[in-house]
Amino acid sequence: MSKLPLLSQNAYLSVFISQKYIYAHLAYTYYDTNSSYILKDISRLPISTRNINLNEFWLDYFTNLENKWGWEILSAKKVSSDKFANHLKSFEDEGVGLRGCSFKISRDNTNSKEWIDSLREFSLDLKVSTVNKLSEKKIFGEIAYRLGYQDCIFLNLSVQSLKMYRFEENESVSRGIGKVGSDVYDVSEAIYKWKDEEKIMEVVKGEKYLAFLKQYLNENFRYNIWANFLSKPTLYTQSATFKDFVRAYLTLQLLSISQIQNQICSDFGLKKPKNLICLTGEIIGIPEFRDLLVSIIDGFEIQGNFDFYVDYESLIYTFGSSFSKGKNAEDVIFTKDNFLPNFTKVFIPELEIKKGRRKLVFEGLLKELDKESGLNINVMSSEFTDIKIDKAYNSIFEGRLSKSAFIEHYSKDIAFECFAEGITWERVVFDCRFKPVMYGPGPRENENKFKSWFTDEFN
Amino acid sequence: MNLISKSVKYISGEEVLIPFEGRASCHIKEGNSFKKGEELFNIEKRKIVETYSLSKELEIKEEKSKDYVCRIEGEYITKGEVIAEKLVSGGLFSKRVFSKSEGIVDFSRIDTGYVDILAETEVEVFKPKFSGNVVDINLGRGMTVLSDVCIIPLFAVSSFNKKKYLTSAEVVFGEFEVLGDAESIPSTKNLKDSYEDKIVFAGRFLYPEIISELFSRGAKFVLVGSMDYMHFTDLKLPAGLLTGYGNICFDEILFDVFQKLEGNQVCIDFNSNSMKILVGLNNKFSELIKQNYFKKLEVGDIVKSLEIESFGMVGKVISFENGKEQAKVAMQNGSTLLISVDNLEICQEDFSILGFGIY
Repeated sequence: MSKLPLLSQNAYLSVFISQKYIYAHLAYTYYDTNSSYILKDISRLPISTRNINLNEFWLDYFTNLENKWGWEILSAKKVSSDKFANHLKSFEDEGVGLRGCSFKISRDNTNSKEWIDSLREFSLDLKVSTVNKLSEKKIFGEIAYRLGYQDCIFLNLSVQSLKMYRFEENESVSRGIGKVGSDVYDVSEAIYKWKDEEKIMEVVKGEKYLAFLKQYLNENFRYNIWANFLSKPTLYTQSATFKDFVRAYLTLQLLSISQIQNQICSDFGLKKPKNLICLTGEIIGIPEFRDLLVSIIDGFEIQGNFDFYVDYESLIYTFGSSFSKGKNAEDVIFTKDNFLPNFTKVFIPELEIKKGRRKLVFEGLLKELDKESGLNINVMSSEFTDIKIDKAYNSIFEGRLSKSAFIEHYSKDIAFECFAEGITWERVVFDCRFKPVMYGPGPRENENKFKSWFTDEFN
Repeated sequence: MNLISKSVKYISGEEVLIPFEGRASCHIKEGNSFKKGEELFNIEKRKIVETYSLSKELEIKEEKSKDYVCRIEGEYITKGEVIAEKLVSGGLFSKRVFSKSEGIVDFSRIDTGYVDILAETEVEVFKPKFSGNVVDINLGRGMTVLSDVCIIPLFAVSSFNKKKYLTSAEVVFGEFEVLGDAESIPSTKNLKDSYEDKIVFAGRFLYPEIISELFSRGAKFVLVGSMDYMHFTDLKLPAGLLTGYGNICFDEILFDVFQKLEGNQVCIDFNSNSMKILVGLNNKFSELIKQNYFKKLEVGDIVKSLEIESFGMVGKVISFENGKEQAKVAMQNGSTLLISVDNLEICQEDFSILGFGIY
């Protein structure tokens, strides 16, 4: 019996246009040879489409992608000085052609209409669609469903917007054949958009913001760097000052939102045993990973346990829908291990320890499957312990919470394989700081607090 | 892939509005072409003889200036007469602004704190310093011409009141003047007496006082490399930033271009937030210039940093580090910085092709 084309050799290009960037992912799968990979590119979008010949723009974009990846994408190019007839090259082999190409354009992009029209004009072979609140909810719901989580928060953090969707499993609806994500989850959302630059500037102007910073920055410097970033944002930075600046901004924004809409994140991590936070967006690459996690925990004041993954490359938008459909996908078939980034397991136990006392909260072992000994893990109260797992595919994490610590819906014994069911666990985090976490009153106090919280023992 | 950022972009056949700043009579018809130096229209206007900054001299807020004037709009005033007055110490003393020359009192800039004394009506002839075609003539608005332009995008434009300040809410048209150099910060001592009808580039960094001084000397629009965010957002005068907020080194290459283009007619377009240098119609160039948008970064490329601590600085890529994730960039100010490749924009300017000739 002949195989479905998607199960034999396949290559598909999916592109997502966010507010400021173009994320391109070319997925190549060849399950017969156990070969699959995703070629990636993130490019900045021009600020305005004015004075740009968009046909030339797309031709240049595809030509550069072809050169970067060494992959033939277009079969016909410029036919005369002002006329284009562009077709996708049919898939032949690895490096030659595609089975299809789709573009998803975020409605948050101020030039979305121009991008859509120009792509439709550029080539009829491109599948062009928009990403709006409804489609986001659909994609996130399906992903949560495929991953089997009971309570999920999807967060898209950008400078101009913050979007949050929570999917809580409705226990009266059972999972089963024919069911989709939207059937089994109750969905709540909180969407904030700051179109006005002044409103975004206001956040860093206030005294409240200073209470979250770790480094003192004078008012002038604060406004200058933030205004420059708002005009021309970057996805990453090398500046420790700016990493801290954005961490403080995110913490404050998340905290404000959780206070305004306290029902949206209430009891997350405590209600159900299988919880997930998935993070995507244009600003998430700026803070250090650990700081980003702390922002979310403190911003939403989370307790309990959850799994955490950060989608730095917006894969959720390009191939999230295909992944969630599994073998029923129409473009590419993804398995968990060729689609998902590495996960982090987060435990935030409730402590029955007098505030300020340093006591053992968790005692455990990180070891390779076939070995008896490994890395001894001792987690202390008042600390944020981040354990990096180097050989996840072959490791096991096990241990026990002390008498004075417990996690709702979780036994005292914690044990899991670091690579299981297609998911790689890259880190385990125990947040044993005393709650509620207090920031401020100023940067110097925050710096001392961060120093006392973090232990680099297991990194 | 890195986005190509053009500080100077050549556009063939762009329509540009030359606003009529007075009563106009045209010497050319719609659809006709014109040469460099040909008379296009006459404009009846009153020249500014003297300008007084009431906010500065009476120490009052700009928007309160109209509460202190003692004259009415269009009134003829002679030398030594009082223009504005403010009572102090409970009315015991008064601060006064006296006219140093005779002329007509003009309050068109009163909201920004200025009172102008205008001379008798004069007729000025407008002669373009570029060739082009007349696309449209609208006596209430201006003359729209077709010409090739070099577009220089503005990073930000101040939030001044266009309706009150400009004759056209869309554009400012004037002669380009370069003040000082790319390094130093100009002071009031080095300013000329008049910048009337000029669009002035005033250096890499400015304090608001200098901008205010340039306006009191007749400047129409002030361009500056960088300014502090707080100063710039408080500014109620027409000004534009080219590099960013803070005190940032100015691109030496762009400064060379500015020096070579000094004296040419330029327009500030508020719809596209850009400066357009009118360079005349020349069909050859559009074929020569290939518009690329993306490029793989290579050694030797001229780049602009978007990294927050070196924002807006321009330099040359000299090598790559950490598996090509970072580029070592020799900056124009002599420093060498290691910057993430993703945080660099490639500068590919179109001006070299011009040879600085205006047609």
